[in-house]
Amino acid sequence: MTPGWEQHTKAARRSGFWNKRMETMSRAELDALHLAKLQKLVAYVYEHSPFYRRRFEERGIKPRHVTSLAAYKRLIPLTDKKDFIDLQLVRPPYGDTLALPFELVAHHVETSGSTGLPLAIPLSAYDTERYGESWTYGFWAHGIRPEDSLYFAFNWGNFAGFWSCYYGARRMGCRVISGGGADSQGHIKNILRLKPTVLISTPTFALRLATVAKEMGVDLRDSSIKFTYHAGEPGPFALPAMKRQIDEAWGADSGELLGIAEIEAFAPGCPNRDGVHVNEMNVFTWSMDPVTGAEAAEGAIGENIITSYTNSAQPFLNYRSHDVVRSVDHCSCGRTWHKLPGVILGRTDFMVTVRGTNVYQTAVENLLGEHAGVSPFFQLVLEHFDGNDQMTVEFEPASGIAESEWPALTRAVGDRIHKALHVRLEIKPMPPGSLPRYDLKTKRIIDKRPKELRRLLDR
Amino acid sequence: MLTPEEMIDRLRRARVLVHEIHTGTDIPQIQSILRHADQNLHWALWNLGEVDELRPDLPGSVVLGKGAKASAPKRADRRAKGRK
Repeated sequence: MTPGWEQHTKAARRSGFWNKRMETMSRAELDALHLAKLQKLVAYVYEHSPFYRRRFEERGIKPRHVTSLAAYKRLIPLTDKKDFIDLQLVRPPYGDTLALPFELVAHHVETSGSTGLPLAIPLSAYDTERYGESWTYGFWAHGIRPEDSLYFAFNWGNFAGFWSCYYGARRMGCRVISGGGADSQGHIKNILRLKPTVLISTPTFALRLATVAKEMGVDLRDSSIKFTYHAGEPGPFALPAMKRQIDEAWGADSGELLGIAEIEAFAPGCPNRDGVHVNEMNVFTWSMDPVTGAEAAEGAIGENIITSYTNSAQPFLNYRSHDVVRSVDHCSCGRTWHKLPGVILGRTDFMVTVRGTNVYQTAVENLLGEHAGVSPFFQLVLEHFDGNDQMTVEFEPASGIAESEWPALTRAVGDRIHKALHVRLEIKPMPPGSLPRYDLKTKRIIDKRPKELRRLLDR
Repeated sequence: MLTPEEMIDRLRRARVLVHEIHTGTDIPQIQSILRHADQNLHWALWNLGEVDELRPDLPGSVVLGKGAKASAPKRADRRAKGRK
C-alpha cells in the first residue's frame, strides 16, 4: 500500500531539527516571544486559577504589571511542589490549583512520589499533545524517525514520565509497543519477538535488562534495538560512563531527556550528546541562587526555575525545580535554546554539608558513574553524628571484579571523591545484587538524619 | 516553499473554517474531530511563534490575523447563503 500523503517530505527528513526556525531563533526574538507568552499565561491563571488569583491578590499583583521578563521573575511568587500537594490534600484530587473545568481533565497522571507523596497532575487533551512534543524534539535530534518502533520497558501506572513519552511517540508516528506487565526476562523476550528499534526506560533499568539478557544467554548487541532513550534519572548525557556502558551492552546509541513529571518533558537531548536543551516553545526557565534568591548569570550554577506554557489544567509559574544546573546560551549544534551541559549538576534539596563542605548528591553520583569497576548500583546514606552530616557511599563493584580487589577499588573511589569534592566520605563495597533495583526512579539517597537537623531545603 | 507569514495566514484561515463547520453541525463525531483539528492548528501557530491565547477554546482565540485574507470564510458564507 502506498500512502498518498507523506508524513514528511524528503526535504523535511533531511533536517536535523524538528523545527529549525524556532530552535535556532535569536535570543532577542525568543525573549520577546517569552514575554508575550508569559503575559498571556499570567492573565490566564489570574482569570482561571483560584490558587494563583489568591497569591497575586495577596501581593497586589495584576497581570498588567508583567511588563518585562525581569518584572515577571521579580513579581510572580515562586511556587514549590509542597504548595500543590498541600492544597490537593485539603481538597483532593486537585484542590484549587485546577484552572479548567473538571470535565476537561482528560488524563490524570502523577509524580513518582520519590520525594514523598505523589503530586496529582491533571492534563487536558491539548496539554497531553503539547507535553509529548518535547520528546519529539529529542527523538528527532537523536536520529529517531517515524518508521522506528518504541518499546516501553515500563509498567504503566499513573507516573507521568513515560505517558508523556507515549504522547511524543504518537505525535511522531512511531510504532508503540508496551512492556506493561512483563518482568525483566519478559522484556527481553518481547524485544526479541517484536523487534522494536528504540528502548525507552530509565537508564539503570536498561543496564539491569542487559545483565538479565546476559544471564539468559542473549547478546543484546544482536537485537533490533538501534537507540535507547532515557529519562527519570541521571542518564547518558549526564554521565559519560553510563553512556558507554549502555551503548556497549545494547550495541545502540543512548540518549536522554530531562523532564519533571508535573511540569513537562521540558529539555530534550542535544545531538552533541553532552547535555540537554530547554524546549523554549513550551517552557520559560531562569536560574536562581538557591540561597540568596538572586538571579544567576548565564553560565553560572543555579537552581532551575521553570514556568510551563503547556499545562493549562494545573499551571506552574516560577516553579522551584530544586535542580542545580548551569545554563548557557550557545551550543555548537546550532540550537539557541538554553543548553544545560551535563544536565542536572545537583539537587538543592539533597545538598549536605559534610565537615564544612557542601556535597551535592549528583556530584557524587557523577563521580561514581565515571569510575571504572563501579556498577550502576550504588546509594548514598546520610546520617548525622556529633553535629555533623555524614555521607556513606554504598556501591556494588562491577561484575568481574574479584572480592580480593574490593579494598583497592574502595580506596580508589574514596580518593577520587576526595580529590574532586575536597571531602573524605566513607565508602562501603556491597555484595553484588544486595542493593535495591528500581524500574521507575532509582532512590539513591537514604536519608537517616533526624528531620529537625536537616537544612530547611532538605526537609 | 511557503514563508512563515504565508503559513500563518493559511493556518488562521483554516481555524476559521474549522470553527465554522464545528458550529454549523450537530454531529458529535464531527465536532470531536474538528476540536482535535483546531487544537493542532492552534499548536502549529504556536510553534511558528504566533501567541494567541493559551488554549484554542478560549474566547477570542479564533481570529484572522492582522492583514490576513478572509477569502475562504467569505466563500463558505456565500455557499451557506446559497443553500438557504
